[in-house]
Amino acid sequence: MAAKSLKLSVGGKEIAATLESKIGKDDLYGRVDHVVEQNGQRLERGWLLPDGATLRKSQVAMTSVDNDGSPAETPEIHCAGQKLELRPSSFDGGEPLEAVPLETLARFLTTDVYPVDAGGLAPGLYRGTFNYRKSARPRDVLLLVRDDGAFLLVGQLKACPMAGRTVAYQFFDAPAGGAEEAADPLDFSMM
Amino acid sequence: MFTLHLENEGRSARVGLSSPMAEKNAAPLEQVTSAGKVKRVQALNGQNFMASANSAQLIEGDPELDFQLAGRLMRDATAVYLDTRSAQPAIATEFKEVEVVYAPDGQEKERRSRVFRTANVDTTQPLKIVRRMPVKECLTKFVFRGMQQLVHTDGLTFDFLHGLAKSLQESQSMALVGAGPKGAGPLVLRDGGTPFRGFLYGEVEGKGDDARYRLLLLLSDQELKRPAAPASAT
Repeated sequence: MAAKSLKLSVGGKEIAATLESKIGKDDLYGRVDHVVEQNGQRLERGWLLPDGATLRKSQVAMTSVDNDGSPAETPEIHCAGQKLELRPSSFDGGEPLEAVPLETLARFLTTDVYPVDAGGLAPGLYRGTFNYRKSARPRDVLLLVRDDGAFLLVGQLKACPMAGRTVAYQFFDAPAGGAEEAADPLDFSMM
Repeated sequence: MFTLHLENEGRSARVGLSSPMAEKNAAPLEQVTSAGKVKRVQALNGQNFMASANSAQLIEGDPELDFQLAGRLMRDATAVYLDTRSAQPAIATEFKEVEVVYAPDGQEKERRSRVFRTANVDTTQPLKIVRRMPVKECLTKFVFRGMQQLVHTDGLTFDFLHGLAKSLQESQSMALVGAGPKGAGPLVLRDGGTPFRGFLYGEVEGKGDDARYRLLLLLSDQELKRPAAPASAT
């Protein structure tokens, strides 16, 4: 992906930043492919229908339907019965950021990591929102500026309430998420 | 609720794990048309595999498309593995699952039988704190892709977790926790799940009956860094 320009605004000051290609675990450590083989021949995933017919994976696709089949009009985005307007992509407008304590990172669940060239921003942590494409609900974003470079972390900020002596039921009702030697380097490939 | 078996300073306890909610908790989004709510379904796309189709057939008609099947919804289908070497794919009944490991440059490094990882956070062997790292270094060095909040289940586990959170806050450090006899192994929360490095982040406030704590298990499978530049060809 070619680098994309992003206009950031911190404390009223506009800063031009450049977003580079997303960095995933595969880019750093490689990847593991799970394959199924029979006599050395790679098998393909498919489907068996009740009438005995078999289908290859590429013969099946996900599609959107309403009660009349394929939608004849562009669907609207609704939330709790209310229509939401789409927010433009962050690349088409400016994104305001505010400085936050570094400890905010402890409550942030990261899904995407982008290296950013944001010259002029002081080292620290900045919080805002980000829409890669136009969407109804932008995602939380933290911009971490280190001495050796900056990274845009896209994901979701979590609410982690303090736990008192009485355990609130919300902890138990929350949905399930869903070195041998001290000096040894951590193996992050874990493959 | 998940539980976790943790050892700290010679004591171990089984404590609860809770998935924190989003700070901005909002109702789910849905797509709607005048005909109702839009949902995603699996359907046949009408592709017809013609192993022996020639150019003349493709020019004269559309043998690669099956208009009878296109649009049919998938119902009650069973996932199978197919041997696609023959014109009519055959269902494979004897097969082995293999993992192929590739280096970042795409080169194949290793082939091995599939590894099935079992959950290891609540076994008879407690997770161990193997080292402490400065909070600033830890938070800015790793990408945290999972998070669980440790919560007590009784007064004893409250004291255990509050003490650990207080110790982490006072030392301005985070604790690296690991599985296995020496605490060197990664954490696997669910059977067949992804292995993660686990770090504990703790904060406390209040005293006596008003004492409260926040102890988070942050899960990381990636360092926050750029990939190494590819070696230049000589």
